[in-house]
Formats: sequence, structure tokens, C-alpha cells
Amino acid sequence: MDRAQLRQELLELLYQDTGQRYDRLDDSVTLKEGLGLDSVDLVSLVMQIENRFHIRLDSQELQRLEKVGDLLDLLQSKLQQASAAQAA
Amino acid sequence: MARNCRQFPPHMGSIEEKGVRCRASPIRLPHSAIQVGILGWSSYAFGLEQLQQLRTELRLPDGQPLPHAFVRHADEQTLAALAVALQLREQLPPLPQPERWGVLAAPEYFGKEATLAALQRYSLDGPGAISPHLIPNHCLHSLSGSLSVLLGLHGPNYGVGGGPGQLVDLLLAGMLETVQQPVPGFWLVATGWRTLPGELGLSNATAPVCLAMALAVCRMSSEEPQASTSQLRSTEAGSLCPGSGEQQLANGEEQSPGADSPHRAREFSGSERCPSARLSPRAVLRWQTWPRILDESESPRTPLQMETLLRALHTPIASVSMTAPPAEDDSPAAGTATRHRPAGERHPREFMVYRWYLPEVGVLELRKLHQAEQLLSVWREEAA
Repeated sequence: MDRAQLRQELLELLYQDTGQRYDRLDDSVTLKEGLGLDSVDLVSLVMQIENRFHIRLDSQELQRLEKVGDLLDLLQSKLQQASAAQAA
Repeated sequence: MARNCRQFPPHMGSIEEKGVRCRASPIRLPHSAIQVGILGWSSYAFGLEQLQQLRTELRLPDGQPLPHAFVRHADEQTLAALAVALQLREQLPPLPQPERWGVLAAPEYFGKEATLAALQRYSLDGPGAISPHLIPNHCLHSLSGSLSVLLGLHGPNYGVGGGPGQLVDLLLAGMLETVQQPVPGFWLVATGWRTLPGELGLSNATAPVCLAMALAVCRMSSEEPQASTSQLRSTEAGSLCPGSGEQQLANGEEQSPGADSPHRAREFSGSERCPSARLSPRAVLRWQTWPRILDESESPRTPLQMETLLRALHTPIASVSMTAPPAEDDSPAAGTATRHRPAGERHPREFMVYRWYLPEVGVLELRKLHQAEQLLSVWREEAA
């Protein structure tokens, strides 16, 4: 799954979780101030991501997330790891 | 044994702490009774469609719409409570230090639908299927917490009750907190379904409505020692109701010497003020412990519910026939209203007294002043 598809999936998950439709999701947008997510929203979003992509995000990784780009980077690396492990 | 006992209200019964069974002591009241002023009230019965409209149409005091996350996850009772609280806030005159007020909320079966759905998801998909929004939006304390955040209140907030009879818990807790906490006042909010939405298909009953009410209460001037002097001056100026206190003393109350004494005058009058709010209350709520605690067998009374209190608050005084003041040993029927005219000819202020005898709690008394004729909100009779 490429970055554009991940971004689209993230938009859909955000809509399901917050009920708000975001027009665009640039890498530079911050999760808290830019998207208006509070801590509970973030936890809920992470749970949806884990269920959707069948991956696990640990708390240390989540603490480093500040912007949408950080989240997409993390998702890409996790998905690559998952696919590599599956291939092995 | 005594040091292991906590003081609880008498209705709490005995408690067990550190393995020692003991009888809880009755709570120590500041005077013979606790009384607070009710600055205003607001109530409404919301239908399901109206509740959905609230999600989109409700506006915060600054005119902003509700936050998206709140709109999406808030329980219907939270929306109803917020609506009546906002309505009351608009109708009240500006409150000094409104951000310091606290809020107590007493929902009824709060979050029942959401919790049921979450339990079903949990049984199918495990803990990962439970939304983290369940606790902050559907637990007992979430209603008061949401109101506190959205209205910008920094005072204490928590939920009380949670089931039938939650109104008594709310009023008693609210009166105690108002008297004891260093805040200007409290918002007391109660909500409850009349016919639960989930039961509609089973009972084939009338459409469910969510009943919500909000009271703004504050400490009375007589509760604060520094108010005594100004209160006495008011009495001398004739703005109080000398003599009314004697007639209105509840059964078993300690007699004070002279009906016109400052203590007696402070018992109740139409011109008392909530000192921290600098406002005149429209009604006075009073809780007095009974000399001997009633039990269910000797006081088979109907429970005090929201409808009962709202009828008392919204009934015009003029519609109640005048009665003689109750004698000292008289026990008027529970929940009945009596209309009184104080003895002083210079002070023809009328007020209405409602009394509810609550088993193992005492007497709860609502004294509504004549100024309370201004109805603050719409009360749908069909919701009662």
C-alpha cells in the first residue's frame, strides 16, 4: 500500500472516528492542533488503525507522533515489516 | 471502634472499615438545617428528534458549535442537560465569577444503551472493540464533566445517583457542597428517560422523552457569619418578613427567643440574598434532619422525583389555596403545597411551602417566593 492510499485510509478512519470530513491531509498538519484530536481521540484512532491494518503500535512509537507525516511514516514501516515477516 | 467510623448521612447506614463493623454517625449539620437559595431553574422534555437536532443546533455561550468529538460521542442525556443548563444560563442575570461554579449531575441509567452495545461488541471481538470514548462519555461522572468543560466551570464536578431516586441524592449532595465548598454556587442537573428508547419496540409505549432539569443554587446569606450584620439592618429596614420564621418552623426545630430576632428573621425571607452571587433567590431549598429518623413503615411516601419537584417549581402560587400555617406538631401530607401569608401587615409577601418526608433522611422543604411566578422555561405537561 503506497503513501497516497494510506493517506486516503487515514482520512476515512478519521471520518469514522470524529465524524469530521477533512478535505486534505498534508504531512505537515499536526494531529492535536491541526486536526483537533484530543488524547482520547488519538487512542481511538490508533485502535482503529490497529484493527484495520492488523498491526500493533506500542506506546513509545505513539509518543513520537506529532504530525500526519509521522503517522504515515510509522504506518508504512510497520506495514513493510508485517509484509516482510509474512513473506519469510 | 469509634476511630474506624466515618461520618456518613444517616441514610447510609452502617459501614465496614478495616474489618470493624460499626454504625455510621449522623452527619453533623451546620445549624439545625441546611438551606440554599435557588437562583433559577430550567427544564424541558426532549423527544428523540429534538435530541438529534441538539447535536447540530446547540451553540455554546460564545456562539461556537459543539466540538465534533462531543457531538459524535455524547450521550443523549448529556445533550439534554447541556441544553437546559444553557437555557438557564441565558435567563439568569450575569453571575459574578461564573467560572468558579461547580456542577453536580444526576443522570438516570446513564449510558445504558451505549454500555449494552459495548458489552455485545466485547463478547464478539474482545477488548479491542471497545471505544475509549465509552468511559469519558457514558460513565456516571461524564455528564457533569462534559458540562464543566463546555461551560468553562472550574469548580468541583461529579455525578451522583444514577438510578431511580437520583434527585434526592442530587439535592442533598448539592446542598452540602454548596454550603461547604468555597465556590459561589453550583449547577445541579438531573436527567432521565421516561420510557427508554431501547424498550420502545417491546412495550409499544408512547415515544420516549428525555427529561432534564437544571437548578442554579448558591449559599444563603445566613450561612455566612459576616452576613449577619447586613441581614439585621435589612430586618430593621422592614425588607424582611418578621414573624414568618415562627410560622414556618418545621416540626421539631429548635425555638429561638422572639420572632423578630435576627436569627429568626434569617430563617427565611423573601429578601435574603446569595452573598457570593449578589442575587436574590427565587426559592429556598431546606433540608432538615428529623428528630427521629423515619422509616418506610411509618412514612409510606411517594418518592421525590423530577416531575414532583418541577411541578412544585412551576405551579403558580396563586393557584394554590391559602391555608393556615402548620402547627408545631402538625405533619402536613408529603408533597403537598401550602400557601402562606406572613403575619406582618407591612410585608404581604406570599410564599409556598412544599415538604417531602424522606425516609432515613429527614424533611426536604421547598419554599418558593412570590417572585418565582416568572416561569423560566417550558414545562411540557405531557412529559409528566
